[in-house]
Amino acid sequence: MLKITDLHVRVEDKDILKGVTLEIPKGEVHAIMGPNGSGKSTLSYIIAGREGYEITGGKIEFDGVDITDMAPEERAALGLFLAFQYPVEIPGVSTTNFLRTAVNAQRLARGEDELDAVSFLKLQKAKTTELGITPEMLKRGVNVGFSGGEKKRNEVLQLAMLDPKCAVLDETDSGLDIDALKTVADGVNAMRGPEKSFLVITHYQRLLDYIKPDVVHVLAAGRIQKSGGPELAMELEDKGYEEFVGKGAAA
Amino acid sequence: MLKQKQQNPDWLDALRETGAEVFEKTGLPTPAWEDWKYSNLRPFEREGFVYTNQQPDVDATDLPERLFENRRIVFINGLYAPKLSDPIEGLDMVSLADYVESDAEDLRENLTDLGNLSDNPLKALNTAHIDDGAVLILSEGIQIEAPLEILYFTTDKGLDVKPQVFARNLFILKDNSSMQVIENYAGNGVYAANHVCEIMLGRQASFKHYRLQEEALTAYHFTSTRLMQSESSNYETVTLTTGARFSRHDVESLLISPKIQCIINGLYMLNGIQHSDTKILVDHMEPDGVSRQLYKGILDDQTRAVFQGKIHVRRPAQRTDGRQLNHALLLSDKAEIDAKPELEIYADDVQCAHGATAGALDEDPLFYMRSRGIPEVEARRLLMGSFLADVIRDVKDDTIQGILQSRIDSWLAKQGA
Repeated sequence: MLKITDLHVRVEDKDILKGVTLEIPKGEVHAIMGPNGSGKSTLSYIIAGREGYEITGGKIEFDGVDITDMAPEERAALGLFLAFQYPVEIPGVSTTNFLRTAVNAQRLARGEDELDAVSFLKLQKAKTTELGITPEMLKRGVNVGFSGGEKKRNEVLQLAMLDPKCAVLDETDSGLDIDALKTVADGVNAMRGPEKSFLVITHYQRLLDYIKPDVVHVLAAGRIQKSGGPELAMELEDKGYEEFVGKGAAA
Repeated sequence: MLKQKQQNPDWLDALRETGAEVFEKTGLPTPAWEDWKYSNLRPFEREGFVYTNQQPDVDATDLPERLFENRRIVFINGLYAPKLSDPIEGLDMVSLADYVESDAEDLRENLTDLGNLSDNPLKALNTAHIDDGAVLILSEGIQIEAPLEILYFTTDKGLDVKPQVFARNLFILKDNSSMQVIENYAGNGVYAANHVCEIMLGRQASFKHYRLQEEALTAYHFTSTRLMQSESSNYETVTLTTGARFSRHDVESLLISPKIQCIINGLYMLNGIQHSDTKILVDHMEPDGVSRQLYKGILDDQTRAVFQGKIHVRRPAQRTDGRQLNHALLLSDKAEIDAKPELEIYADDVQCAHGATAGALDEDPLFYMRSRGIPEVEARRLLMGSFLADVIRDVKDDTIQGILQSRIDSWLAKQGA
């Protein structure tokens, strides 16, 4: 589903990713763990297509299509989604308006008919009820005045509404208390299935108690240093990242 | 067709002479003038506009669509066009020429009070050419609920010169009266439109005054607005500027009594080589006044906008609450905003604030929206729309808010398309 091959990325003359290779098959949940500054967030932004990074080598393929040079909106229409670590506030654009614009823009890009207002609101209502998002929150500007937990729930709402093939969750657990974490994880788990892939990026093992990964990768110093089963996460929780940080520095 | 020159009363001739004399002395302002530092009238001078008594041949099909059904008063090249206008219930006369003929006292009193004309050469020039204009006088207690449109349409169609037209507009709302007006400036071809707008609000009068400056992109537009408010009166205005190659709006708001509310808002959306200059003076003279100025604009290409706003609080004007904000969004490296906010305060118990910002569209929300599948052009439009939204948020009349919103939307729709 998502295949990254020997990806090298530079930001302002600094090499951030130094040859990342990673493949997430259809239906699997992979986790990337790593220390601060290891390039985790850069990787998530690069996958989503953010500008301002220089890709000096390698490529990203999605569903067999090379998306390395695609605009973010094109990737989204193909079925790629990024849940932001820090969801952005957009005053003056209501969440409902934002969601409807996004859902219909993707449908148009895929050559499908737009959802009419009634079908859209029906869908939105079903998804918001599950996530405990109030109608009042939908009327406010996107993420404006939302608590940390509300912002993350709003990310999961967007995930549910846009129903992508592959979602990258960037530090979705940061700033969440245990209840909010459970709500968010439940939302994600409800979407798991043989057609969906997830890439869960996190610093701590905690989130992986709730969203159980099939494979865990360790990203440190710009490279995948080790891959393994869920037990690798436990190991990292015990030993920390020290072992890998040293390796990176030498490379 | 030649204008019917009527016999003018002596006072009107004297007024014109005064205007001509003052303009003779001042000439057009230059960037050496403090108030004109950022705007140069040389291109205007070079166009060689001519004051002519030729009228263009305009019929209903030349005009933009009505904003409201059967509630439009039309002026063509500065002159009232009764055949193109709708009769408005509650208003027997709507043009200056009619009022001059009836020798109405209100008219004479208000027109002959010119303020300091030598500070405002364009008003002097207008005064030298007083012919006609929109004049609405509401008697005490008259409240006209339904909004009406005044269309000032100017064109060079069928004329052998580039016309310079003048309109002298006067809105007098006596005690406890109220109305809502949209002044709509439109046209085509190369022309200059010079408007003077005098507004007098009686006690507890309420005037909601909207202005759509949608002149041809080859036109020059000037308006000098002067506002006198009596006790507990309420004035709200929004000026939406998308038209004219060059425009200048001077606003002088005199809060001559206590407990006045005065809201002066504006939006400017410019592209190409448009230039728009707004200068506002809000002069608090008595206590308990509330004034607001909120201007927001989007500047693309090589456009330039100027915002000079001043709140003056005189010593007796205690408990004044005055705010002034100008925010500009620059879409191009070659666009420019010049903002000169000023506060001059002599009273000690006041709340006043001003602020000005200028910047580009924020990249973070842009990427956020695009990552959700919203194409860049549309994401930009949504962000620009949300940036402008609060300027018209408090417009209470839904129809008027809808008109302003549709203007914003259609301008944004053309962006990047």
